[in-house]
Amino acid sequence: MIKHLFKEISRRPLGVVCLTILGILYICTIFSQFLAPYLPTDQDLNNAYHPPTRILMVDWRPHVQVYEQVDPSAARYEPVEGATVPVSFFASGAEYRLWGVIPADIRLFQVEETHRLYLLGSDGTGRDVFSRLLYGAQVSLSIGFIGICITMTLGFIVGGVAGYFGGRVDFAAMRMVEFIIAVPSLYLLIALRGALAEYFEPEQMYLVIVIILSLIGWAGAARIIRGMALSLRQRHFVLAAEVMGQSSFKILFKHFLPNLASYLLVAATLSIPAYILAEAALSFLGLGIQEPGTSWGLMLQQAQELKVFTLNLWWLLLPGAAIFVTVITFNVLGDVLRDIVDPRQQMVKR
Amino acid sequence: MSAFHLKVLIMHNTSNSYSSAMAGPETGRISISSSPEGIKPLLEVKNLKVYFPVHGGLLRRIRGYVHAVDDVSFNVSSGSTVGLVGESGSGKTTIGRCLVRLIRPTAGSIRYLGVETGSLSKKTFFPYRKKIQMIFQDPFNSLNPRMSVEQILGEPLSIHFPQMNIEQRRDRAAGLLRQVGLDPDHLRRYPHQFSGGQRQRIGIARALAVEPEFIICDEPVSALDVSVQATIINLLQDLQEELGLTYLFIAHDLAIVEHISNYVLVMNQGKIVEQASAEDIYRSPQHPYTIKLLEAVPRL
Amino acid sequence: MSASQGDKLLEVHNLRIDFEAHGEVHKAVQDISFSIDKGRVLAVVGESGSGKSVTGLSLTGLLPPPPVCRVQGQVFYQGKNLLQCSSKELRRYRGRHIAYIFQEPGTALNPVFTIGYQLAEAIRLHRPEVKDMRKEIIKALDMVHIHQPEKRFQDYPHQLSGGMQQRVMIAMALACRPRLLVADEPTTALDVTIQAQIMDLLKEIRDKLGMSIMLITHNFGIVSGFAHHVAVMLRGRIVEQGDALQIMKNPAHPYTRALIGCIPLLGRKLRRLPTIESEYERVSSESSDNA
Repeated sequence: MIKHLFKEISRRPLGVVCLTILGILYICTIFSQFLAPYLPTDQDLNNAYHPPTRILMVDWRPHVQVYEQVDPSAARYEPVEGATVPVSFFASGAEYRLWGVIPADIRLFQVEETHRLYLLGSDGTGRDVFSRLLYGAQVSLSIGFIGICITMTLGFIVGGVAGYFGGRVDFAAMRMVEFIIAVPSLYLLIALRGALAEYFEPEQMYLVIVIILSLIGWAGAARIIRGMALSLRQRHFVLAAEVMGQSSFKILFKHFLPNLASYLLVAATLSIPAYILAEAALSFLGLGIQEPGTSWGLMLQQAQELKVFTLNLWWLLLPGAAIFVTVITFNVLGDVLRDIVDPRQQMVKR
Repeated sequence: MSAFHLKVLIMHNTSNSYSSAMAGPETGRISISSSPEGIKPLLEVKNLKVYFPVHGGLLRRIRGYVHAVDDVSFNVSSGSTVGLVGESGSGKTTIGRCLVRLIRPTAGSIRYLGVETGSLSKKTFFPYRKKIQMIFQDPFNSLNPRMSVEQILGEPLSIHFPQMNIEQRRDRAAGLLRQVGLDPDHLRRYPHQFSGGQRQRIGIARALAVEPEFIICDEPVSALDVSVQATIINLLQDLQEELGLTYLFIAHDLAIVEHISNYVLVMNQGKIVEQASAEDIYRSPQHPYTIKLLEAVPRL
Repeated sequence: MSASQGDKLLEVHNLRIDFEAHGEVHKAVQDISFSIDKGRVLAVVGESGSGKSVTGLSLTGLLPPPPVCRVQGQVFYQGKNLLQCSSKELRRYRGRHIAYIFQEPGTALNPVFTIGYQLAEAIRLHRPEVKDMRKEIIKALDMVHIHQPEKRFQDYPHQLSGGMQQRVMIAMALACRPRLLVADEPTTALDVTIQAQIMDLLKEIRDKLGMSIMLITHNFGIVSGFAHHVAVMLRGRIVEQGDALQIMKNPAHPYTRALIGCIPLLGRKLRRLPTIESEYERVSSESSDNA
């Protein structure tokens, strides 16, 4: 089925574009520590609000233009004529643990320590926006995946069991779902976040938020899956499996899951953006990721100073653009997937 | 029919309760047991009732009951084919499903080889799942579209023959395909790659996989083209001869039922209104409903 | 066939229908010609995948547009080539001149409207001159022998049985007084008893209204006593056509003989049912006549 999907996506230009964008985004996220020249916490107060540095070619080697601060209060920098620093590739930089395990210090590009390379400018404390975007992507892009895994698993189990067994099980499950859907989620989040804050480290807060989000989110999925399970239950191949004595557990996983898979995939793709946006919104409200951690939502929140607008510090709004691109791409990909899956489903149903 | 098949009998064990199940006095045909003395029928159904509750109102209280199957009794003897004919909504499918416990009967007894199976627990009924199998009506609906033929046929094998390894299972699946007249090379194909008749053959192969004794054929040909119907009917008859199977053949078309069955039960509105040998049903139908069914069969 | 040129209601010449999917061309109908006379019944008999349904749909452009599906040839309806009409013109012919009934009445009726409403819609669309709609609906339902039409027309489709739903479909098709009724497997999804009733109804309509009918079916059993002409289709081609009685009595093509032979008949105690040779039976897996 996965193979079939890839084949069908590769037929559609829109699908190929989406897959490419997402592929690049996720590869960048996975190798963010290697790709980022600095640590996200690496400050340089002398270079606050530094604009993106120019890259020049000198003797066929890329060099970084050196800047001079003209007016510290207005964050104005002027390039120093003729002064450049060479960029060295695969040089050792700040130490890190690749994927939290392998100790390393090789980074894709570096400049000598006396100067700084700001591909996408720096923020108010002179931290590299490019590096922070990459590190932030680890949070912002994985949150959707982890969230959706929890949501879909819970949704499938509860919805599938309710639809398959019906009767009292169904009744109990659906009342629970209605209860969860009725809970005002934003208030619950704020309350839980407040109550749990003192028990968790800031880094762990990330996981807590995902779990809270998906514990609220599964109910909607469960209700839809239950409806589909109810109709699957009447299909004769499920009856045939029962007649041959197949266990309920296996019927759920061998007969229901593969037939719901295409729906689950489309639903997952379409709801990942919701998680990305939710994380951004929470971080923006100060309820999500906290300093010194980083995420796109948090970066966006830090960009909401008046200064950013009056001094045209446009690079600080790039996390917003990153969220925008990711969300749009996931939505379009979800639509492409639905187009692929739907006619097939109709054919199967005859 | 070959001599192998025993004559079917429908016995009146308790004639009082039985005749009350008949629709009226004009249907009082007495069927005479022609089975050898002392041989128990394979299946005995006695006073079977299935009532479905009708819910209504705000609290979904039970408002009343639909009498889907209302006091039905019949027997099926080993090696025979009993036809169950009636219109949609007559309760014939419900009876079939009761026998394999897809539906729990409200009252009555179902005895398989003398054992009361109606009251068995899920676990103790499990061995009967190997003996009683079912073939479904809609060949487009009865095969999981996401499973290959090998997986479809392998599923019952893995349940009832857990000692088989993958190769043995594949060999058996290929053998089953050959048995139902399909190419064993098609094991890796998926249901949508087959025509309706071929799918029904796969459905039959799946039922045969566990080496059953008794197969309930629930409208196995009514969704098929007339030309394909004939091939499936012939296949079912060949398999019966070869494997000594017993069939309960459920259909709405009396012509097909009359062709394949030794004994025919005519059902209307949850009750068996007439039962007789296939020949008697055709030659001298008693109940007006049977006559109506006979008249509906197209003639050339 | 002794009908003179003037009696022909519909003439189809060299009709070809190709479907294209994933770069492969599937020839659903290959060069068939037939005609339907005024007030007569043509039965198109064939198995699933023989192209009989798409032939019926192609008459009024009900097939998907190119490049998915390409229709070639000529379909003359009262001298006008329907295949060259614009979709707007075709819409005028659909319902008003050529009406359809399909296999599954349950899916052809909208479940959220009463049958009366749906009937009224059909009548209003094609006969805006009708003043007393209620009377017209009751008349239409009465014609297809629905009891107590004045009560029934407020029912929703799910409140009716399959046979009743098909009657409503027929009433809707007839409401516009079409010249040609295309009945695509009208009884296949129904019980044998209901099947007989619907065929009786169609017979009555044929005689009473003098309308032409194109009956598409896989079952020769419902053809006899109903159709005047028969065309037998096999894999997109007409292998035999002619007078119904003649063909039923004396089929020339072996395939026709096989199709007639395999009908289950009562009291014919055969050891085995006659079947169609495996060569014909093998329906290509891609064919999707009913899809």
